[in-house]
Amino acid sequence: MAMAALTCASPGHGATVTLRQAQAEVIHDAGCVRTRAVALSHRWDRAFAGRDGTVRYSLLLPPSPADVPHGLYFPRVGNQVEIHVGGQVLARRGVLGDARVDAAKAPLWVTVPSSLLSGEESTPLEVVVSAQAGRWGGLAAPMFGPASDLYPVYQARYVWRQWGAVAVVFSMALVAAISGGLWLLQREAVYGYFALGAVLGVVRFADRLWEQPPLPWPLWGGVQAMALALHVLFMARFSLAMVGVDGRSVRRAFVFFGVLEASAAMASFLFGLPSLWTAALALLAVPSAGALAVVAQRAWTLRQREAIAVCLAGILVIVAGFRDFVVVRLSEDGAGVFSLLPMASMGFVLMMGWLIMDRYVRQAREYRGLLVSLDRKVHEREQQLEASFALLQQGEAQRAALQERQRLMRDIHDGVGAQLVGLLSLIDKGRTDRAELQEHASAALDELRMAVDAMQPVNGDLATVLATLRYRLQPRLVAAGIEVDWRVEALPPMENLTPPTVLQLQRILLEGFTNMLRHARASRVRVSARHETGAAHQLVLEIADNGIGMSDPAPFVTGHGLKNMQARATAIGATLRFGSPPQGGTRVTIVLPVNPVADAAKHSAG
Amino acid sequence: MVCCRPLAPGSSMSDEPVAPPASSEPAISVALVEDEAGTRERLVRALSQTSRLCLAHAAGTGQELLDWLGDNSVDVLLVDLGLPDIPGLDVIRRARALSPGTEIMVITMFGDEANMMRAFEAGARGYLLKDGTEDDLARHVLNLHAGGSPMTPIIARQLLARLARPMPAVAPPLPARPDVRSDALTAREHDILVKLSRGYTYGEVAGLLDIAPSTVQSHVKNIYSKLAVHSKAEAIFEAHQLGLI
Repeated sequence: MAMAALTCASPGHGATVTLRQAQAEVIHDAGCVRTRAVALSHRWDRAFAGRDGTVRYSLLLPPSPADVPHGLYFPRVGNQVEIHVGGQVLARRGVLGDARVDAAKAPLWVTVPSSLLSGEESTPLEVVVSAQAGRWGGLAAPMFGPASDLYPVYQARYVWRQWGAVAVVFSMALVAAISGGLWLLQREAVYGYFALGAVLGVVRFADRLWEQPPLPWPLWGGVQAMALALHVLFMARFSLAMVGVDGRSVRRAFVFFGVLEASAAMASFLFGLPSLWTAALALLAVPSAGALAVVAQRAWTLRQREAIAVCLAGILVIVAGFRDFVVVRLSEDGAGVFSLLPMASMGFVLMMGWLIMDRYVRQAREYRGLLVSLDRKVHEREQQLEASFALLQQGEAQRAALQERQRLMRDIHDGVGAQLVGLLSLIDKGRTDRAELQEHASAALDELRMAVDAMQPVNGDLATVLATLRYRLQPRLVAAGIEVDWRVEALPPMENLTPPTVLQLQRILLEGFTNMLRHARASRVRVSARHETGAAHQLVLEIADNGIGMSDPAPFVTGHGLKNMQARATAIGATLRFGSPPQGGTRVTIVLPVNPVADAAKHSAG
Repeated sequence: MVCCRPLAPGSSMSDEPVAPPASSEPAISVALVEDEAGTRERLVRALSQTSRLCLAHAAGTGQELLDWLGDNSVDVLLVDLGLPDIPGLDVIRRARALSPGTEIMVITMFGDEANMMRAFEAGARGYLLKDGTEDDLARHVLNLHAGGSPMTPIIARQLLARLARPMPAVAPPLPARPDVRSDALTAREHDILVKLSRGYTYGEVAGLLDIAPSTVQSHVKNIYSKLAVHSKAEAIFEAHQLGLI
């Protein structure tokens, strides 16, 4: 059993003291018990590397005034702990020897009832600690004093340690979520590295908030160590990717260090070899420093904003990591000292988060710019196409207009022109027969009217062409005392009823009527138009008079008239027949084929 | 009202029904505007062929005619579409506003059917083609005044396309506006237009449809009125489309 231990208690009542000496009674797994004086802070892992065990620390609380409430502040004690003052249990964290709870993660405050203290003599304090290998167990120098002085110190420590960790974990989780989302959307490796690194960081740094972790010790310790090592490796790889270095050699090095670090970390905890983990941590400096060197080189040569930012943040992390390694891991008095690495990591993570968002925003802006320029290019191309199309159309219209103009000139020249020339030659010859001159003049006028009528829209209706001719000729027929028997049926539209066709048809019909008026001595004319749907679709026009007929050798029969009519009919694809029916008179028949396409269209439309 | 000397009765060769002039009826007053002096003289001469017509005024410009119309009124007004100062269509519209009771007739080049349609839309009810048939002017004017309006087959064809009914027996294969308004043609009007476009005269149409010739005349007049309504309805429709009303 331990005897009264020496304390460094400062003289004078009521002041806060730090207890730096204790008698430690060590109980190994092996069962061997050894008592010796130790200086606090005392770290189990340093004294008994790779082993589990229990220590009973015996200390003395200095005499203190009973009227002032006192308390004990343990910056770090664990992994499981029982605290006795004056032989009475005041606090417990976990069950001794049960590895599920790790009390060493948080500072501990114990209020000491005044009844247990004495103003005259020291009061015994016993701290029983059970520690697991590699779990930072042990006892950091506790502080004793009036609660009014000491509690704020505990509280400040608690807030720093706990809420600092909360802030780190929360901000890491946030940027992990953001960059994970970006990776899902864009599948860019750089976002993926960062998201994974941040998630591992969360796993690592959240451990501090977790007095009772989800996995049993030492497996959890291994997982934690792996998470930290991989976090650092991922961040290194991310840093390289940010400055555009993500080749095969980087991947190889990453895989190499990743496997090495992960297995070393896990082995160190599973087999109780803390020095292996220390070595693994030291080895992490190689990829970190290597990545930093590359980034720094980029920052120097390219003056890239990203490279400079990554470089500065990386230096920060490496300095903090080195300092932690030296102060916490290697030094004798590591327990209870702040680790800077979480804070530096948080800084790094936040900065990278900002960089990532900046990168994303810039990319989005570039895409938008690209879209705008694409849009402009499409628009320009569209305009060019429109312009060339308009030009083409204009050319087409000009060509069509030219053709039509040429046709009109030819019609006028061949029609009215010829008639006027004939009239002029009559006058030149000194012919002054009034009837003859009038006939020629009115023929010229007829020709002109037909040329104009042929330009009218008739919508492919041959009946309208016939009707217009009748409208022109009716006064003459009436004047000649010829009765008209008009029988024009509804005719299907003809697609090929163009102005030239109409004009030729009118000329044929006019010729027929003129012949009748001049020579037939008829009193009656029957004009009929019908649609025949036999073997071939055709339109049949007939002019039949009751005159003297064609058997009489009238002068027109041998004249140019009939030849002209035939030629015109052939030109428009029509058939022209002259006949003398038994009941007498003359019959002119014109047969026009109907465009079968137009016919079919008409039937389907109907 | 200014009127003129009675003239010798002219002869009519038309088969179209015209009430024979009765000496007891008052003379029909006519004014005309035609910028070409030669044509104007021929028109004046043609009008003077019948005692039933008296020429009240012959103007050379649209403005001159409109000024004169401000103080006078006539039964029939003849308007040349190609006036140098005011477009003939505008003269028709303003003349109608000044004197709604006046029958307006268009004098136009033959072959100018498109302009004729617009003249009908503006309110003209008859036309005379400057194609050498000016001699028939008196007959046309008397016809118009008696309630008749001439119609060439081509105009009938265009009216069919323009005022097409949804399901006509012989549909012109033209894209027509869907017309379910009051300006759509009735079945009878449609039949008449179809026959006219095939060249039948008013008398023959009356025989074929078994109606009186005067009924054909009044149908034709109605059709012309519908064209004016139609053009207004189109204007309203287009204004709607443009968001003006």
